[in-house]
Parts: sequence; structure tokens; C-alpha cells
Amino acid sequence: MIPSDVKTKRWPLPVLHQRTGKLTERLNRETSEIGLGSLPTRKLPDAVMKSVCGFCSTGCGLNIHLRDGVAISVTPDVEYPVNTGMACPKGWESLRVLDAPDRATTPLLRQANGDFQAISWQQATATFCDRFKSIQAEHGPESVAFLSTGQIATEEMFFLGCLTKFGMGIVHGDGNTRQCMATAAVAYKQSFGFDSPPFTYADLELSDVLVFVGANPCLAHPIIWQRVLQNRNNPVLIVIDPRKTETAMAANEHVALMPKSDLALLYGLAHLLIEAGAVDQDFVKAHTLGYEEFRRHVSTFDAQTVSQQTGISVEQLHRLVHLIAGGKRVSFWWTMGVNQSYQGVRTAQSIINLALLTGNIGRPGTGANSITGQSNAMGSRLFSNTTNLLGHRDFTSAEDRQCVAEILSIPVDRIPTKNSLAYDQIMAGIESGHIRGLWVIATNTAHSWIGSSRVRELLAKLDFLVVQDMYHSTDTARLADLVLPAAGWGEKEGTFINSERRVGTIKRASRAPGQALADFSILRLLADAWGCGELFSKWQRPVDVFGAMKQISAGRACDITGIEDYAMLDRCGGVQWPWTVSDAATLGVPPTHRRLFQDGRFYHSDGRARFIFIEPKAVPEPTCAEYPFVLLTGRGSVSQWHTETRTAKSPMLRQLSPAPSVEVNPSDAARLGISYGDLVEVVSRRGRAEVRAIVTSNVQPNQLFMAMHDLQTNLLTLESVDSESRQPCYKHCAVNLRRLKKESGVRYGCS
Amino acid sequence: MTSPATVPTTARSNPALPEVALPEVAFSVLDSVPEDFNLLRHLLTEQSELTAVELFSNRHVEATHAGALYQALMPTSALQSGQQYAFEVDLDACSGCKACVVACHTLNGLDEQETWRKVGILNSTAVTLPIVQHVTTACHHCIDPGCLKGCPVLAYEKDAMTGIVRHLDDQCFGCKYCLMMCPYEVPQYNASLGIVRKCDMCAGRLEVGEAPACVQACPNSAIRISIVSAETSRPEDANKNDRLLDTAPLNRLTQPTTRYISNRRDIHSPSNEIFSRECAVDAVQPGHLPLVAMLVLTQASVGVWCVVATVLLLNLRSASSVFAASVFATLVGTIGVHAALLHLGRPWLAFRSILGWRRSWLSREAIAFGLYLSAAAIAIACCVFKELNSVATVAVCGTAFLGCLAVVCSAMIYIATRRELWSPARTSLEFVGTTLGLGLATTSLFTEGTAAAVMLLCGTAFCTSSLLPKLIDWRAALKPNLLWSDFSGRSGRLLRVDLRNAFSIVIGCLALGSCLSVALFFVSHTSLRVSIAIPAVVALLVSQLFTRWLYFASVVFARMPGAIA
Repeated sequence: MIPSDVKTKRWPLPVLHQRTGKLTERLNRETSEIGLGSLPTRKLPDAVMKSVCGFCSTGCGLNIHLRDGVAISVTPDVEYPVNTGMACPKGWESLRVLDAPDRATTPLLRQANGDFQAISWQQATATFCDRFKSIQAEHGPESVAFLSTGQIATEEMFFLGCLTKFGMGIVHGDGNTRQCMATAAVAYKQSFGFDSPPFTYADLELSDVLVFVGANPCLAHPIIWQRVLQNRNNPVLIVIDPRKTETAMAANEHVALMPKSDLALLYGLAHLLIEAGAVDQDFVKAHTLGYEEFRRHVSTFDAQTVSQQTGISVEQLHRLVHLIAGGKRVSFWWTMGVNQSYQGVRTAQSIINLALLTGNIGRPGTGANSITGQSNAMGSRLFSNTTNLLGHRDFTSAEDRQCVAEILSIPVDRIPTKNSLAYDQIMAGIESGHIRGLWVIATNTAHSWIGSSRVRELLAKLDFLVVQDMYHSTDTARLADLVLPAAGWGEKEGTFINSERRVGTIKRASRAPGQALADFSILRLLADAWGCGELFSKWQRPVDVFGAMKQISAGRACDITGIEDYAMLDRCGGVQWPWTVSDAATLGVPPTHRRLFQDGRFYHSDGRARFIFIEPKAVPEPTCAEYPFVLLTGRGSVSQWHTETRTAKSPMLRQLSPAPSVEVNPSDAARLGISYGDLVEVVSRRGRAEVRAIVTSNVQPNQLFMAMHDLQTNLLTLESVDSESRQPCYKHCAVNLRRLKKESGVRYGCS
Repeated sequence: MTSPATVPTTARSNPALPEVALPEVAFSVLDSVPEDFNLLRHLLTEQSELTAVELFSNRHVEATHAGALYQALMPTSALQSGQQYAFEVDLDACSGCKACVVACHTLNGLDEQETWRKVGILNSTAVTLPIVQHVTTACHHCIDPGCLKGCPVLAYEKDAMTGIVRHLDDQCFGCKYCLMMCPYEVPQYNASLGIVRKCDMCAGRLEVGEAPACVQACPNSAIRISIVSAETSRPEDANKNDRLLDTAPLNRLTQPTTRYISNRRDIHSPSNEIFSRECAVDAVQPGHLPLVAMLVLTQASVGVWCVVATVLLLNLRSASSVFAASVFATLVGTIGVHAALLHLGRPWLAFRSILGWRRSWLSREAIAFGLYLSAAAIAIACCVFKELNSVATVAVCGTAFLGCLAVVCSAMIYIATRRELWSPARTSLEFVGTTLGLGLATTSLFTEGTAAAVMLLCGTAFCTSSLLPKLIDWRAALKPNLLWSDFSGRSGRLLRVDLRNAFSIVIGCLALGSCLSVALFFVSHTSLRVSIAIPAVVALLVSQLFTRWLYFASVVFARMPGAIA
């Protein structure tokens, strides 16, 4: 900025030593007048809007900086109780991912020659209805299904679930939450009587012993890790993970068990805790059911046996028991290492059992706590109308159907009387030809579904595939017959529900490109075009659906009737469910941190939690001479999100994430003549991947690790699901590894 | 994003829809919508409106920043004399989330891929000691900053009070020498601006009591600002081989002030089992073509003057007879010096390059070459005018002397970086080899008889000698189990894989030059001699250009974890 009264000379004399000038001014910072500290002068906001983050379920609060009403930057919100002024790189770059050349800006229809052509919304909605209706007419209403997401607003999920199942006669619909949270949901439902993660993030700061099972919050949930480090009790940290992760580095006890031996380990710990007299007998007697049977079941899991099965020394087992038994406030935390397993529900329940056994639940700093994956997986679990009827009800229950019909003023016969197929069953339905039309919303099935080489063939087999997404370039959108351009986070309104049951708001702070519309608006258009717009005519804006959500939740465990409106959510820094009208009447303002089961009453009709257990099963694909390695998968970088659909659009985030690679133990690498950075091939019975080798002892011998962000990873994985939750087991399959070329790893990651 | 424009409210009103004005919607979006498609018109309009701030929060003007959170990470006392601010990193708390990197980028308004903080990673190959240690790193605001010592235009300052090493963006002319002088590769070249930019520890924030962006943004409070003094930070009696971290550059090069603290025994393992990506994989470094041209051409030029001076000193020829060689050498030298301008981000500011003569070898080189070319002009004049022939020898010798000084300055530019592969011995061998090799070879073109053949043969020998360091590296790569600190072997690995073609060209050119120069002994026909000598000299020139390119492209040195973005 040059002061206007200074006239620049046309031919200025050369300056020998120039301390300031235009280049220096480019980086000027100014104290913002609205209390955000110093900010770049070029990006000084005149107002700030609050929104929760749209990536993971931590649910951080963000300040969206506005100038002239348009979003220009994002910083973490200091006042939000989740993140207290911090965010991970994804949150910081939230706005940047909206601006990409491959944003879908108009509906696109696949032509006979295979190319996409831009069409009008009118044509798009007409085509959508014509094609799906004719498929339904020919093959029955069940021949069209939808796959939804944990990434859109709860209001949109709610509307989608109602439109499809009550309006369009679709029976089968599932969400990508099947891939992350189904196990936890089923485990909680069976054990507690409702899908109810009991914790609040403050528990991380109040525990004296924290046990992380199959979780690497350092990378996956950095802001949850922040809360662990804010724990002032000098807590003992136990990390159960086959790999030496960042989180394991910080642990007092890293339990590097053999992959998928977790169930045996947890039963062994239960047995040893019982033997050590660490059972909270009063709690178990008063509030649980099935303890005796459980005790008998785990009695065979003695230290010696468990040590053999898990590769954990007897000494370490005893140390763990000593630490857990000695803890006054022990909390157990798990995520995908447990959920993504062929016996995940029982594994999650074996963690819940430990908490019940030792009475570590319902008190500050305790709990059997599942950390959620996606930003709105919890919203999906409660309100998506897919696996469960709205508000965690049952499609097969006439009473529940009647109740929902009355609340929503829809004819009860519009509600399907049977349960939806799960994700894997929908894929199987496509294979068998029972499902011929598919509508995919804000998820990237072709990359994320397990055994993805087969998935792409299946999607290609469909008569009609509609993909509703922000970008026309996702692996799934490229296979679509029709692409509907959606607005993304930051371009629409609604609410998300995070891991600790906190409902927070998202805002429209940025203009969607071209004719892209909020998913909510797209649903309105489709309802209208389908001819069932009348059913949903009350829902003109997300806030109208929020009202319906409140009504649906009334009297349920997830009661949110006490939440007045979006403004209240902002005012209170989000509100955790349950928050009922009577809570509001008695307490007024919701306390910032609330946990469940403080009274020891669970949601089963008898108020008791259940001990649920099973005999551990063998892995579906054991290693063999031909495929001697176990392939572990997981998050490989804090700066990428899932299939990178959004995060890869940010140059900053791209720069921060490593090139596709496989971690291999030095002893294996030496045997196979592989050096760090070498190009290697990982092969399974289903596919192959070409990646760079990272030689590190963080993975154990005979194990490999690949990040899920790489498209190639799921070409290798084996489609096997947990029979209870139908969640796929991404964390275990047999592969082989070999060096690909004779070159060393030069030119790696550097231009 | 659509460009805002006002659209007249032509949509027929639908009683079912609330009345909405249609502001700020591009014509293109709504124009394509048929008028009877009211719902869509309504939804598109709604999509273009943003959530009204006041609808959700009337506290937007009171947004707070993280002040209270980071006070514990800021210095509690005022700076005393001899003290300065420094970053202190708690490695046990650094979990690798990289929020510091993005916060630096955002809160400092940096360009798209620009950030002044980086996060590297240390792993281990020890089976019994698996580690994954993330390392956040930025400018170390060194006590003896390499960037500042090297800068030819005085664009770096070390603040007398705070010790912060600041870069004056408007003074920089984009020579990128600081990128070589900083062992931690902190300064970053911004090609679109033609200058270098770097971390200033958010000096402006510190002035008003705010924490730097990275300190504010670390969820784990792993970065703090501490106060250090030269004595306590890097004591004189410290081990000469101390490093900030395993595999990082040696502290003694610039005395960095950052402190990395950890109670984890693992990451201080003295073994060679700890490694970073930076020492596990090597990438071809920038070849700096303008610098290659500049170095080789100026050295050839100086070489010719040296040969001419020798000839005159030994009274082998008269001054006027060396006129052609001198003019040619001066021409080549002039082209060479100007080739360096192509290296600059803002070449029109080249005149500033002499400012740093007190400490920068680059300034000294610029001055020396200026003097050299001036002297050359005088010397040529002495050769032209017969009356001045008596002083010609002195002028020619003076020119050669100044030229040699300039070549020494050129060498010192790289020697001063203290990269092992740019050691005084290796650099001298290369630069002297080129100077004498091309000097002799070029002069041979202006000489007749056996003398020319002898000169060409000697020239070939000297040119070959300049490849010796790279031959050593080529061999060193054969050692089994290269250690990360074996830079010669790692460089050799680059030569054998990525730079194989360039290396082959050098060998080929040298072989061709040798054959031709031997052939010259057996040919007497003038035109045939020319058609042998000129290709020979060109082959030698090409060999030296590629050798110098390899000097840059195949360099390997100790790098800070995180140096590779």
C-alpha cells in the first residue's frame, strides 16, 4: 500500500539499501480490531462466523473470517469447548479445499460415447426420476438403493432418509459410516441398550489411567490428543497397537500385540483382573447382567495362553493388570483398530466389559469410549433413517413406525416394514442383479469400500449410477451416469454431532460454484420432481428439519428437545445430547461437559448393562508361504482425510502428506534386498500396488502397513465383515512384497 | 465462484415460496433456468446468499484470540544484553500434527505452498528400538547466521535486541546464495516474487506480546519462545560434532539457537540406526545452469589470461601476438559474468551485489570479476598500441592475477558453505582444473605447431583432473551398507542412477578430447588441424560444463529432518 500523496517517480534513482517497500508490505501484519490477534493485512476480516469443522468427529470449533460477508480465512475458535483454540491442518485449510477446478458446477450426464455433458437441473432431476422409476417399475422398488455419508449435515441425512424411504419407496440405503462406526454402534446398543458413547472430552483430562486400543489419536484425532496432554494427573498411558505409532511412542506401556489378537488379550486382561480382585463387585451386582457367565468364559484365558496368542509377555500382561487395577479413574478409548475387524463388535464389547468389571463408567475420567470417525457419523447413527428408523428406532416395529408417522404427519404405510440391507449386502445385491440403480451421496465408494478392484466392476454393472458430490473427479463420480453438483462444508447450513454427542452448527460462508446446490436443496428438487414434494413441503430450510429431529428425539436417549435453535448451539459452544425440555427447565444452561450413566442406569429396560462375549475366531485370511505378510492399513497422515477427495485440493495439505508408501520391518527389507525409498510391489490375492518402501522397525517383522488414503490400498484388502455390525475388516489380509526395480530411492518426494 | 451482479426479480412469485430478493447472482446461473422452474430459481438464489452473521451470533465482533493459552510459552523476563529469543521444542510433545506448519502459512499470509515451519520425522532401523519422532523445525535464528554472512546485498539483519534474523524482502535480489549458506535450508526462494523469504519469529507479534503463529497453534504446547545467550546456548567447550538432532547439520557451522528437548532415551541413540527421510533418500539438487555457465566461462577466460601471461613472462612471444587470444578470452569472460544475471530473481538490482564485500564471498567475486574485466580492457589496449607494449606484460600479468583472485572468490563462495563435497580440496581441484584446462586448450587454438598440440594435451589433462572428486564419489558408492554420513558414497549413488547420463557425457567428452589432442601431434595440414582442435576444445568445454553441473546437482550434505518438504 503506497500512500496516495507519494507520487512514484517514473525513473527513480536506484536505491542501494531498501529496508521497506512493496515486497515487505506483502507480509505486513496488523492487530485485527475484532480480537483475533495479529493477522495478515491483506486478509484482515471485518466479521467472524462460527462453525464446527467438517472433517473428523472431534468436531472442533472454527472461526470463519469474513470480509464483506465472504469467507477469506479460517482460524480455530478459542471459546469452543472441544478444541480451545486449536485445529489440525485439515481444519486450518477448510476453505482452501472448496476452491478447485474440478468442482462440479452443473449436473453432468453421461452420453452414449462415454463423455459427460453438462445438463440443466431440470433435465437432471427429470432423468433421475425417469431412470430410477423405470428401474423400480421393472425390477421392483427394492432394485434402487442409496449410499449415504457421515459428511453431510444431520438435517440433510434426515431429509435424505425420509425422501428415499418414505417418498421414493426405496428400502435399501446405507452410509459410509458402515465403514467406520457400525461396530461401535452395535456394541453400545447391545451392551448399553442404546448407541450411546458415554464420555465427554474432559474425561481425557481427568483419568489417571488411559487405555487406547487400536487408536492413534496423534495422527487421526490430534485435538483429542491435545486433551490427553492437558491431563494434569500425570496419567499412565497404555497403547494397544501392533505398530509403534506416535501415540505408542508416548505410552508408558506399548502393547505391541499380534494383529487381530486383541480379543484374546482383552479377555486375558479381564481374567487377570478378576483373579487380582480388581472387580467392582457392588457396581457389577447393581448395574450389570451376565457377569458370572463372563467370568467363566474368560477363565480359560490365563496369562500363559494369552501370551502365546498375542505375543505379549506374561510380565507385561501382569504389569497392565496392575496398572488398570490400581487406577482410580481408568478410561478406555478405541477407534478403527477395533471397529474395522471381522469380530469388532465383540472386541469393542470386551473393552466395555473391562470398564463394567472395574466400575470405570459413569464417573469423571472413566468410560468405555469409542472415538468416532467422520464429522457427522453420530448424526448418521441417530437420524439417517438407514440401519435404524429415525431416532434409533426399529423399522420392523409397528409401534415405532406408527410413532414416526404421527410425528412427521406421513401415512404409516409409507414406512418400510423391513430393515435395509447393509453396505456389503447392497454391493452383493448389485452383483446378483437385484440392485440395479444406485444413488451415492458424498462418499467415494470406488476408493473406500474394501476390495475396491471388485467394487469398480460392480458399479460399472449398474443400470444407473447417480453420484452427488462436490467434485466431478472422485473415483466414484467418474463411473457415474449422472453427477449432481453439491455444495460442501462452508457453503451450507445445518448441524453436526461429534464423538462426545455434541451438536454444533455449520454455516454458509462461501458461495458454491456455478449451479452447485446444498444437498438439502438437491433433495428438495428431487422430491419435487419425483412427485412427493407435498410430503415434505414443511421442510424448506435445514432449520425446519432440525425441528423435526427434535420431535423425533423426544423421549429417546438422544433427546434434544431442550435445544432451542441454532443460535443457542452457538451460544453454548454446542450442546451434548441428551438435552431435554425438562433438563432445560431445571438446569437452564447446559453444562459444558456431561457424561452418561452417572446414576448407573443403562438403556436396557432393566437398566442393566450386559456382559457380552464370544469365543475368538481365526482370521479370515491367514498368511501362507505365497502371501507371508499381514497387511495393516490405517491413517497415514494427519493432513489427509480418507480418500483425499477434499484434502488433496489444498496445495498445503498435499505438501504435508507423504507419497504412497508401505512400511516394512528392517529384517524383512534386508531379506528381500529392499532399501528405504525403493519402488516395491505389494500383492494380495485380489490386487497389486506399487509404492515406495519405508524401512522402519515401527512395524513388526512379517507385517506391512499402508495408508488408506492411497487408492491402491483397498485393491489389496479382503472383503470380510463383522457378522454383527457388517463393518468390513480393513486391518488384516495376507499379502506379499517384492522389490520392483533395480533403482534406489532417489527422486523421492522432492522436485 | 460466480461474479456478483444484480438480477431483476423476474421470477413469477409462487405463493408456496417466501418472497426473496435476488441479489448477487450471476446472470449466467439464473438465465439458464426456465422461468417456470420456480423452486430451482429460489434454491439457486438462496445458495448464493450467505448465512447472515447476526442470525447466529451477535458476538462476532468480540472473537477472542488465544492470548491466555500461550502466555506460559512466552518468555517471562526481559532480554538482557548478550541474550536473544530462541525457539524451544519439546520433542516428547510434538506428535506430528503439523498444525504449526499450516498456522504459519495462514497467519502470516504466505503464498500457496509457502510455509516457514516444517515437520520432519526420525525413524529407526533398530529392531529392538522402534521409534517415530516428529520434529518441527523453522529458522534457528543462529548466533552466527550463514544466510547473513553470505548475503551479497546485506538483506539479512540480526536484531541487536532480540537476536531474530530478519530478511529485508525489498533489498533481496534473489541470488539464492543464502539457500546454500544456511545448513538448515531455511530461506525459501519465491519464484513469483523473485526473492527469498523466511521466518522472522513473528517479530511483530512478539513486539505486541503475542506468540508466534506456530507457538499459538501447537495443540500440544510443544513450541515455546525461550531466552538464550550465546554462552549457554552453544558453549565454546561443546563437542565439535554436536548436532541439534541425530543426522542434522553440525551446530558449529552457524550456532543455531533452537533447543530440542526430550526425555526419550531412544532418539539420542548414538548408533547409525536413527535416520530421517533426508538421509535415507537423496534427490538431485538444482543444477543452477546460469552459475554453471558463469563459472566455466569465466574460468576459461581467466585460464587463457594466465597462459598468455606465462607466455609473455617467459618471453616466448610478443605482446601483440597474443592480442587475439586476449580479446577472445575477455569476450568469453564478459559473457560468463553476465550469465550470472540469469540466476538472479531480480537482475536489475545486480548493482547491489557489491554491498556485502566485508563478509560475502559473492560480493568479493563480483568486485574481483569487475576489476578483472577492467584490467583485461587495459591489457588489450597495451597490446594494441605499440607504444604501450613495454607495459603490456605488466598489464597482462595483472589481469591474470586479478582473474585468479576472482576464481578464488568463486571457489570460496562454495567452500564457505562448508558442505563436505564442496571442501577446499575438492572445489580447488575442480576449479583449477577447469581454469588451466580450458585456458590451455583455448589458447592452443591461437597457437601453431607442436606447441599447440602440447597445450591441448595438457589442457585435456587438467580438464580430466577436475572430474577426480566425482570419480571418487562414483567409487565410494560401491561400499556396502553406506552410512548416512558417507556423503561421497551417497553422491556416487546419485551419479550411478539419476545422473548417469550426465556423468557418461563428461567421460565421453574427455575421451574425445584426449583422442583428438593426441591426433593433433600427427597432423600438420592447417585446415585439418583446425578441424581437429576446435572439436577438441568444444568437447573439453562440454565436459567442464557438465562437470560443474554435477558439482551442484550431485551434492549431498547433512540435512535437517523436514528439509524435504
